[in-house]
Amino acid sequence: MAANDWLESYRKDPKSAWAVHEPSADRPWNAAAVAHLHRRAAFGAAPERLAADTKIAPAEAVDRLIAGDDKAADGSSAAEFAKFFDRIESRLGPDGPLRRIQALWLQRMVNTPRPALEALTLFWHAHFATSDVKVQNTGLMVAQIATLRRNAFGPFAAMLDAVAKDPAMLVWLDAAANRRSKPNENFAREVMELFTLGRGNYSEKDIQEAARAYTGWFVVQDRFSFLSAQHDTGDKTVLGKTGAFGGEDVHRVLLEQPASGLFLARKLVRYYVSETDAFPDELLKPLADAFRATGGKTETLVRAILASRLFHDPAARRRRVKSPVAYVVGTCRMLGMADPMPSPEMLADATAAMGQGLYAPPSVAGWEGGAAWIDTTRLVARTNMALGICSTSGPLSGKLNLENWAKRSNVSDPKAMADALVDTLLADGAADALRNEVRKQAESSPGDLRPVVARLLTEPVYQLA
Amino acid sequence: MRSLLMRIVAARLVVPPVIAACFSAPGVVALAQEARTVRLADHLPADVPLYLSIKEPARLFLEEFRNPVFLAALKNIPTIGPQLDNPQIDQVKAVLGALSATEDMSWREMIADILAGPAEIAVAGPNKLVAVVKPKDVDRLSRLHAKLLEFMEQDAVQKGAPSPVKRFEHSGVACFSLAPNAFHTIVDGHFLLTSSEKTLKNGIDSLQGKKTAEKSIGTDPEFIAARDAAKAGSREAWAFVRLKALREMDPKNYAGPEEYNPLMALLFGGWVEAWKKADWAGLSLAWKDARPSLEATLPVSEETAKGSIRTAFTPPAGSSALKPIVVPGQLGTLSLWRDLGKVWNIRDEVVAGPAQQGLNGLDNGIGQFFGGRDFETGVLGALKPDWRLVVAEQNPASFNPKPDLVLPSFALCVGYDTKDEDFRQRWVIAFQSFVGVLNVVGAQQKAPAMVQNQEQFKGATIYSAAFLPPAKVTEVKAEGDKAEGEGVHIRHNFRPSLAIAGDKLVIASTVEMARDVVTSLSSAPAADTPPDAAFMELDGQRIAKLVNANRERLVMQNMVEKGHGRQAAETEIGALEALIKGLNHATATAADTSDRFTLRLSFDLNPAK
Repeated sequence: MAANDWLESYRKDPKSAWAVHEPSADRPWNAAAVAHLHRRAAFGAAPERLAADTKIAPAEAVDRLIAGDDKAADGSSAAEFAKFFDRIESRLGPDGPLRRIQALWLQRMVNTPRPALEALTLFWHAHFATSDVKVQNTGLMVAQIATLRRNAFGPFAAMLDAVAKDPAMLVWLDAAANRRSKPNENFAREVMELFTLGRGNYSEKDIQEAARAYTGWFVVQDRFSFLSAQHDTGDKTVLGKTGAFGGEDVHRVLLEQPASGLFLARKLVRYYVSETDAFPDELLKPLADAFRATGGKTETLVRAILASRLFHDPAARRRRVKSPVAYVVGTCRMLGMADPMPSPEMLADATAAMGQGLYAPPSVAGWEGGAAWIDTTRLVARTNMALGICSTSGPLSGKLNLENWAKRSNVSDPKAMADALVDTLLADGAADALRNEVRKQAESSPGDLRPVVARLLTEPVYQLA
Repeated sequence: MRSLLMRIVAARLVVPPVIAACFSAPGVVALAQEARTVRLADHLPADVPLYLSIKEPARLFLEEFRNPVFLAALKNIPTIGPQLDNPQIDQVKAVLGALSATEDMSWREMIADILAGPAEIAVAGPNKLVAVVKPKDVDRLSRLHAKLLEFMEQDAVQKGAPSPVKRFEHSGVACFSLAPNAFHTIVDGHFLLTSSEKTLKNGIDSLQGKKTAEKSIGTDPEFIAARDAAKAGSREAWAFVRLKALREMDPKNYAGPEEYNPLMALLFGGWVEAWKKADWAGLSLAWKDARPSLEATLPVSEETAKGSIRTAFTPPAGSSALKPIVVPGQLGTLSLWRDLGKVWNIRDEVVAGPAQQGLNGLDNGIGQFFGGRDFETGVLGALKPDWRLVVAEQNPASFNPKPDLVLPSFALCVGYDTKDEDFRQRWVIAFQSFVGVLNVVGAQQKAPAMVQNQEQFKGATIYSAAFLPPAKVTEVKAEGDKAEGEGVHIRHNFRPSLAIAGDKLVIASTVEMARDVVTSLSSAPAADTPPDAAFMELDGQRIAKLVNANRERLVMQNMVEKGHGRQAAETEIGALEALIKGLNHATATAADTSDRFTLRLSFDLNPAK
């Protein structure tokens, strides 16, 4: 069966693909469907959350995910939680260790009442890929992620304006000093190629003209500064529009292009739905149109994707390989390892060993993703992490409390516990044979189910989202 | 109530919660106790690994150990902390109250009576314990004991359960067991507790004079030497530990780590060597008026003393650390006798692995800053062994600008040979070269440059450097310009300085600290020196203030390292802060001679005035 077969009917009727999903007999709104939503949009959820969301409509569950919960795992309000993390991250300053900011973000992801926001921020981190390896300033990196988080669901135009002036981004793209006499074309190129339009939708002349619009943009003492004396005030012509453009004006011109809506819709569909399938323009057009019609608000796109018939098609499940961050954060969230959680610094090391060091994407294109996540070395790193948290000794051990998890899941005997673990971690991805084997394993050693958990975390199907 | 008593006794929870209850009891119980010679030690075999004597256990437990700072410290110990919050403590207090009511006294008075002391405890091996306590009134103890057994047996009868009390007799003495590994009796005016029936019987024989050890620990020369080394008059408790036996029983915990932090090894390697090679240790505790002090003594054998490590680290007779430096806002001060030239010579023996390679690299490279001098003999060897370190709060007025995160300042002071004029010049050049290198590196990282300065201060020459203050964006601002964000870099905590004051070199993190040290040097009488190899003093109040100022960072560190949530991390750091704050003042001294190493720790837990 070709990979695209399941999309055939949607290609013929793109509007039906993005229509709001209504549960039916062949597409029931059950624990497996809810687990799929949480895996893709929020790293995964604990059993009690899965059970709660099966009782509401799919669209409502999506709304709840996007809005987030009122309280964090530590009992603080969502606002208080965010404020606390923002404050302690910003206190690290420019010379903080990379490992520490990685650990803090992982801890925020595991404990946050807004996991969908963090998952989308992670998407933007790959989209606007910037690495501390070159920037060498953890304060600027933390500030950039804060910008991405603040604008994650908002209008893309505001996001683009903010990122284009972000000091870490400007340092990363060698654009910390954009002089009138020597406009930085590299920065203008990346804005068009990687951030808004994609290749083939602009010319070299457009890049040269746009570069003039960004002149006067500097980073002075780690801050964005506009030096008017260095700005080219003359007229520029970008994608057929002419004016005495500044950087923000160029952004408006870029976002008016139909290609920009399609570009962003494609990336988000790839992130939330499938990284193995091709999505032609005509299939994405309804999404792009809705995006532009609502003023380019990212939330519109995300909500439309997550509530759609296409997203909830059972065939859409497990068409993505979990990123290392999703693997680690999801494991902690699903198994209730939030407070306390395994050492975040050790988890940061683990994600880096799996190929995804936060704040350190390998290039301007972000992480390759997909099958690249599971080469032999990286798969061993995943196994090591799984065994580490299920072990009785070692730096990752001691935080997996299956007794508490059983209470929260309202299960008592080993067989029920095995079923609950399978349902939470693998859902409908577990074959009957595997489920039976896991039950037997649990019943043979009812006093200690950590080996069962270790087995599930290392199953091939658990590596898929 | 009896049923409750029975449940708790049956659960074998009596002893730890009783002690914990004593710690948390309100009020003070004053006790008078007549002196008593040690007896248990005279009846124990000479090879007992651990022996502990407590002069007045009730006073220690009911008065001194109830100090809030001490309790906070206990709460931070993972194996003890949870016991102090055990909800069964209140139940135990209620049971003790019921029992003590039979004697018309409070439970605290009862505990004070039973644990009047002295007490002696010996551990002969895993699960081999003997304890002897002399109560204030043995008749009262007998009555209370009988009442407790009566409660327990009546409770068993009511439940139709077998009696939990096992009774037997030895040499006409009634003996009891309430748990598989707990046997006790009241004999010769003492309460005797052991972990086996056989030991109990031997103990009775010994206390009755029917059986004497051929060679008891009380006559062992090492035991006597350790006991004599401790300050007999003021000690509340004293312990003798056979380290050799412990190492054989549990090498993982007592043999000492194989690798050390290189800096720690270079500074304190001689002490570690003493610990690793010592056959025994004597520990004594004095505690009065919320001022505990602990002294540990380790013997140094002739063979160990002649070894290259001890030879390099031990001060020659008559040498000692200098009087510590005192500066305003002081957080801590350390004075140490250490001939680093000699220590550097044997670095391969105290530092291993990659750290050793790093030190060898330093040995080759750092001499370049000193005109090609050999690092060991020409640099370290040219310094005197009087090292002093001081750390202090920074005066807010000294910042330009004030960084977002304020760090304490510090200074290192050491003597040098003033006849070696070239050496003095080399230090000045090395300092200026160092600043130059920092400026080159800083320029590559777009950091502001440092400007050098030189000044005369109280007869000393101070060479200093300071980062240029950040250029205000308004200076380059034209109409329509704008800047976003703000913040002052941590680097503005540092204004590195080198002071040459007479025969002393001072390396300081700020020029203000360099001036303070010069002032301290000019006012310190040289004759007033402690007769020790090292002296350290800490100001708990100021350190707690520093912890408080960095509280959020410490919370963050706790979270990312341990995986705690915010509340758990804040609780842990809060407890640490409270502990340090309660520690009004602490000193540590180390006396290091060819045949003995003694470490003394003293604390003042009284509230700061």
